[in-house]
Amino acid sequence: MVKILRLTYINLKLSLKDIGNYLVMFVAPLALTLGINFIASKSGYVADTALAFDIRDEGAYAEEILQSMDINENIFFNEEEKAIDLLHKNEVVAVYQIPEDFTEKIQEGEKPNIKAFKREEGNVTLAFEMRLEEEINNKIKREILIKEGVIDKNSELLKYAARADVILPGDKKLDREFLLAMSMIIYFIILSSSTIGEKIISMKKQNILSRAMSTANRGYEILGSLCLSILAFQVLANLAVIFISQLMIGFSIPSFPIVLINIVLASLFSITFTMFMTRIFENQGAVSFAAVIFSIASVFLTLVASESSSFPQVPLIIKNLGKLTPLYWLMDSVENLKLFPNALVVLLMILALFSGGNYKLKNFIYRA
Amino acid sequence: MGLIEVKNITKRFDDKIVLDNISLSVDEGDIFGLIGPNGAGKTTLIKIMTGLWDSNDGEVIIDGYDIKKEPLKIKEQIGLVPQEIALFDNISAYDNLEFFGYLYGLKGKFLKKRINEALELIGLEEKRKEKVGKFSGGMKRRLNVACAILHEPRILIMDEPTVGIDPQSRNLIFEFIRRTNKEKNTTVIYTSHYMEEVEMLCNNIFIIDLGQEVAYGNKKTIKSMISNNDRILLEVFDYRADMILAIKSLAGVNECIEEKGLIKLLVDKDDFRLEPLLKVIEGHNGKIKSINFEEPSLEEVFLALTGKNLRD
Repeated sequence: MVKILRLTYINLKLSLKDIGNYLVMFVAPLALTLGINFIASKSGYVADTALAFDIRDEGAYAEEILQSMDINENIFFNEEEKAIDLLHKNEVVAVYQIPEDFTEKIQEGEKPNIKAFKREEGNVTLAFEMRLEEEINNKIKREILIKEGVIDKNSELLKYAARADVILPGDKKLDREFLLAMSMIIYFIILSSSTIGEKIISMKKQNILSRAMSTANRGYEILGSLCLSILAFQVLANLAVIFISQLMIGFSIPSFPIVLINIVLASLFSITFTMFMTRIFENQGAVSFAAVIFSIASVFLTLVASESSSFPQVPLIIKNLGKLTPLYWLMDSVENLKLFPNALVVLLMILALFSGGNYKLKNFIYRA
Repeated sequence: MGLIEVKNITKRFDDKIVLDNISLSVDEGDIFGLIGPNGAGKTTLIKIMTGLWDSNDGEVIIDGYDIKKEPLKIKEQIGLVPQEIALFDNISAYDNLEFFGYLYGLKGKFLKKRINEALELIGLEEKRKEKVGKFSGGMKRRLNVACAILHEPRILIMDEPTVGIDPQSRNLIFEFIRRTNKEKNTTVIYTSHYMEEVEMLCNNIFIIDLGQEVAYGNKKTIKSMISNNDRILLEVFDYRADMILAIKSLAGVNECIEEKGLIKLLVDKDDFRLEPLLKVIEGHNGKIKSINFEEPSLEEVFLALTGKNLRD
């Protein structure tokens, strides 16, 4: 064990001297986390885009929705001319006319039709429209659930459906920015399996592994120390990413153990996945390609599985496929601050890959 | 019993036999040459001796340990310079040495000392901080050697260490081999397909071709395998044709050819004596300018034994 730790230390020391590792495992996830957060915060702030509303709704939902979206200006009630006048004066980019039956239709479980008046085509209002649609969908969902008797009017779920933030049963509120940072980190760890694969195959190509085998170390000590050093680097780099993001964005970390365990699990998955891929493919390019495809597919399937109601046209089997990816379970663990069964499921995936990708270093080195 | 005993090693890849019943013995402190053309089986034999590959039959015993049963005991004593350069390109020479030093179980101040000594020994102390990717082929080869000697191995196995390098690097490697062998009594196994290198460095030689033993023994024994003849080259002034006839009649002279003032003799090692030859020349008023004895080269031995050139 001491020998493995010593070899891990020297492998880690070499990794720390390789600027490429910092780029892939630290700079890229940090830049993307900060960048996406910046874009998300800009596009999410609907009030930045000047809009006007002509509310004709005979119920209360139109006002409720606008309030929940922090929109308080340029709201007119049955005063279309005034709203349109703002559009003519170039003071707003669009006017939305909310119909009389807005609340009624939602209560019937139907989507109401909203008229939009714009000076020109463009995507300036896209973020607002997506958010509005999400709010309407949530309202419809709630109405259907009430009708079917699944939930009570005063249940927590109603609050959950009406808010953008995640409320946990224990009244722990998660920052959206924290979730974004964690999803970026986990995604990048999974994606980095392509880099790990390249590293192992390049060490084989550079004859480092075969030379290492001529020393008084066993194959599992050499390979194990290499994997442990990658794990240590990834965990350290990604903890740095989350802490720096926290400092710069200002979110709170609800549970450090959950963060740590999910980063460790993601990294272990990434490493064992790489070992499995390098066992199947000898070619550096093929391993990278497989890892990238898997990462992209994971993101897509996880998104479809966790937001299945937003993808009504996607077949159920595809939606369920997401549950076979570690990303789904890791993100679910972070969102709900729970380890069971998520950690267990990911651990089983890791074990399956470990036994599938477990090989004698000697055989790997000298396989043609 | 030698420090290294290779007994009846056979290695097959599928149906192809790449090593066929190879046996050899290397004494402690020897510089042992393993020669043969490319693809002869040298590297395969080295890989089996160092435990990197398993043989199908036979055994390798080093210092009393069986490579199959106690590989780590043997690997502790071995420094392997692989034929292919095995270095990280993206880090410095020092970092490469530190990495391999850790693999050899070295650490702390002792490791630093050994790295500095190794860098000095192979003449790269000024390039210690430079990335290996910027090194010339010769410098990489030298560093490749340095990585194998950090732990001061009892046995140094060098698999074609001079392939494709400049004369300066080659000389440095030769100088290092002689020095480490003399000062530390390191046993060296040196493989090459450059006969002149092996001839210059090694005492005992194993010639291999197509996975089989061609010749094995000390240089003299091997050379005597192809012929009992030595060559003598004489440069003589003012001689006449009758002197050539007189030389031809001397005991032990098998052949005498005159060529542009140079007289080439092929003589039997056992029967030929130099004194009668000198008397004949003197008796014919010939004046000797130079006299050279030539043994057959290993290249010629290989050609005679296999019917092909070593670098075919």
